[in-house]
Amino acid sequence: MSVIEVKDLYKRYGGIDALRGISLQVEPGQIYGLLGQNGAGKSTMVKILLGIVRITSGDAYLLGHPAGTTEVRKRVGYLPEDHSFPGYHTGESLLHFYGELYGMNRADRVKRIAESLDIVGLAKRGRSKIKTYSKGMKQRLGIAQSFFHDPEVIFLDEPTDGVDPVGRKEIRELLATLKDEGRTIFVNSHLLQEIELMCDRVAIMHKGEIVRTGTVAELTKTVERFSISLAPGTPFPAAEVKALGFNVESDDEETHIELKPGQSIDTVIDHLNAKGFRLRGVRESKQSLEDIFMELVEKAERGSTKRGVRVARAVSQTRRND
Amino acid sequence: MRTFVSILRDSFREAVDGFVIYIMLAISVLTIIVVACVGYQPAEAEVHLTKSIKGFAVFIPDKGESKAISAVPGVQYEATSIKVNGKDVLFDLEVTSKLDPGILKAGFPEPFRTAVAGWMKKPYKSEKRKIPPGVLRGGRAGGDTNSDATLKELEIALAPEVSAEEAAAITDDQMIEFIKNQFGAHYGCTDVKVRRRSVPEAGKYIFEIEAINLRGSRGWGHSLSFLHWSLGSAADTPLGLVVHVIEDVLVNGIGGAVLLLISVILTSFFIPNMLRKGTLDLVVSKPVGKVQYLIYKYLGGLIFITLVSTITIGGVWFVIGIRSGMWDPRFLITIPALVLSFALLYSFSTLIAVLTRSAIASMLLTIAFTFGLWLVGYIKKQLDVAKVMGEGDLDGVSNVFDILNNVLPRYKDLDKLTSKVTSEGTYTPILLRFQDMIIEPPSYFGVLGITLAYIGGFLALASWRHATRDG
Ligand SMILES: Nc1ncnc2c1ncn2[C@@H]1O[C@H](COP(=O)(O)OP(=O)(O)OP(=O)(O)O)[C@@H](O)[C@H]1O
Ligand SMILES: [Mg+2]
Repeated sequence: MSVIEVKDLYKRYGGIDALRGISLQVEPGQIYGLLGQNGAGKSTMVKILLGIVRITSGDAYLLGHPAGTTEVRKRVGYLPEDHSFPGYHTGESLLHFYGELYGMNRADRVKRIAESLDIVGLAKRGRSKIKTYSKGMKQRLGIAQSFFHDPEVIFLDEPTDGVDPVGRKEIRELLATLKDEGRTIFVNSHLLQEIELMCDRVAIMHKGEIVRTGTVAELTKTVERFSISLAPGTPFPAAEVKALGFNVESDDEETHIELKPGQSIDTVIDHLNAKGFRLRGVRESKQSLEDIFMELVEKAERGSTKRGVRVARAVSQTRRND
Repeated sequence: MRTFVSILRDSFREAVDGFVIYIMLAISVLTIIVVACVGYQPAEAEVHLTKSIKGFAVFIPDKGESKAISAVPGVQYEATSIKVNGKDVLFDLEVTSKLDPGILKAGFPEPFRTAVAGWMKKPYKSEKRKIPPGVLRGGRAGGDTNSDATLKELEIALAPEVSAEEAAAITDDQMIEFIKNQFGAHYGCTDVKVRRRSVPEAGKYIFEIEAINLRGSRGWGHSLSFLHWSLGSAADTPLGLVVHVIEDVLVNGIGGAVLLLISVILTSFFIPNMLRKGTLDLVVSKPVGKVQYLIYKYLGGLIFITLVSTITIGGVWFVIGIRSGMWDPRFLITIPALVLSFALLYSFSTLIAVLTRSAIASMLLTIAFTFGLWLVGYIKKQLDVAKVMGEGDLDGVSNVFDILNNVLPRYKDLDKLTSKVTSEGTYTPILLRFQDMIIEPPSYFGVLGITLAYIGGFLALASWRHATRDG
């Protein structure tokens, strides 16, 4: 059973289309990243799953239940974006309050709260009022409250917001641990690098639509690119290689070759060897998620009017195939 | 239930963290101290008893159970040989049946015996008369029920019919029972020893009275002091009346209004704070219903005010008890009355908070709402008086206000109901019957029903808006 299943989800806020026919599926035990620009609809997506925002049309299921039911929220943790904790609580008392809402008994709370605060590095400040916390400390508390009650699914909306680099690394490690414990984690971010480092699978969102999904490896490997350098002073035989049907781009030091489907870089290397060129280096240059993202966004911007129709058609086709 | 307690504790933490609770407690303590500074000095027995004993001419038929009062002409009561022992008073009660001796001889029943016999019976005849509003009660605060209801049908009791035989058959024990009951009716003094001393004269009765704590009873005249300053020497004012003015005007009226106003201001931050985007998302993602959370927060505010009211009113009740010796618990009805008034205002404030998400807006609009309700009540009362006095042609305006008053929550009427209940705890039976003659209390059903309906309506609207709102 999928942990999250969303089909053809639409959300309209007044005149704004925040989600325009989203479909996605998240399997258990993954760290799933939702990547998108500001205003893409990432937070809206998560809020619908938690029942904070109402669905305009479409279906959303969480752990097999329709999104937003009270019971299922017991098994879910959530770190909202721009959260503001009531300043009159201490870190510890806030977690006790939330724990009571989750129906945890006192012994459980005491144990789990101490552990969780320790994990996020707030053990020493647990008894201070939240209004005395720094921004990063509040974020750490936010993360603690998202997992201290042993949820099956954790939603994190911009989890590293306001956290220093060391803290970010700690958060990534924490997420890996939580994943190893068998939890499913859903992360929203506009920080490409974060997603790239944290997530198993990624969905890229743009203006209320999902434009691409896949594992980070798949997404970044969709285009194979190689950078080749020859012995100094030897010009690259670009024309010959192009004649073999390859895409060639050169700069001062290296030549970049983008493979089309069915092509192999071996063809180029064999050719160069046969012609007596002396190779100094061949490197597969992986495209970063950022490159992919930028590309997708640019593409989407260019064909923004047509694209809606195209995506819709693609979705309806896949459905018919089902 | 556990969720409710958790949210309650959370609300309480919020209140305690800020200055809110301290301001409330300060007001509470201040009120208690002010009331504690008021002292009550019983009037001198010589002066007061001589005057007030004359009131025994009036009695309550049906052995003090009737709703009406009655009197038989020709009986005079006097106090002589007055001795004071602390709060106890010993004296001779001299009763003179003063009817013309000629008539007395002609076989007419003797007045005192007639009074005793009449006291033992149900009122002989009562008739209903319509008394227009504003005439009898013009001077009293409030008076704004709808006009039909204010035309009160008064029950006027006529002297019970007593035959000469019945009068003649009255025994000493019955007379003594009557006298004892009169002390209860007029002074609220129930521990009285009465002994008849025979005198030879016809139409003359002497009773030796030992009235325990008569000078401390609610019907005994008292003068007021604040700390050690005397506040005039209204020595004839019965203690019960004085205490009731303090309870009703000072505590329920002024104190209650201040408490409500400050509560509205201070609690107006609770719901908007909780509705702040980043705060609401956190709680709503927990296994708590959105509406459930809103209602629990509302109830949290209510319980908070209940606590403050209980401390204040309970404290005032305690210091009044200590200072005056009057411990009637009916004054405590002021607690639920204040809470109900607050519940109305807070439900309105909650609605505005959900609609605007602004603490300032909900605070100002709630104050305006309160003032509006008060103003409608006030104008209604003035128009009623004008109508009775036949001043000018105000029908159009007057109808508008009649309608307004009928459809709006009559929250001023709540004060009147409270006042009535508290007066039952302080007034003597005689005073209560006088009050009943001139003041028509609003109907419990109308006041509670309409107020609760409004609270329900405001909360339902707020819940609906809250539930359908995104984020
Ligand atoms: N409560 C709301 N009322 C009206 N419009 C809203 C509301 N919440 C979000 N929107 C709109 O919906 C769109 C998507 O917003 P959303 O918050 O989901 O974006 P996001 O991807 O999370 O962006 P960010 O990276 O900035 O957090 C935006 O255009 C936003 O203005
Ligand atoms: Mg967002």
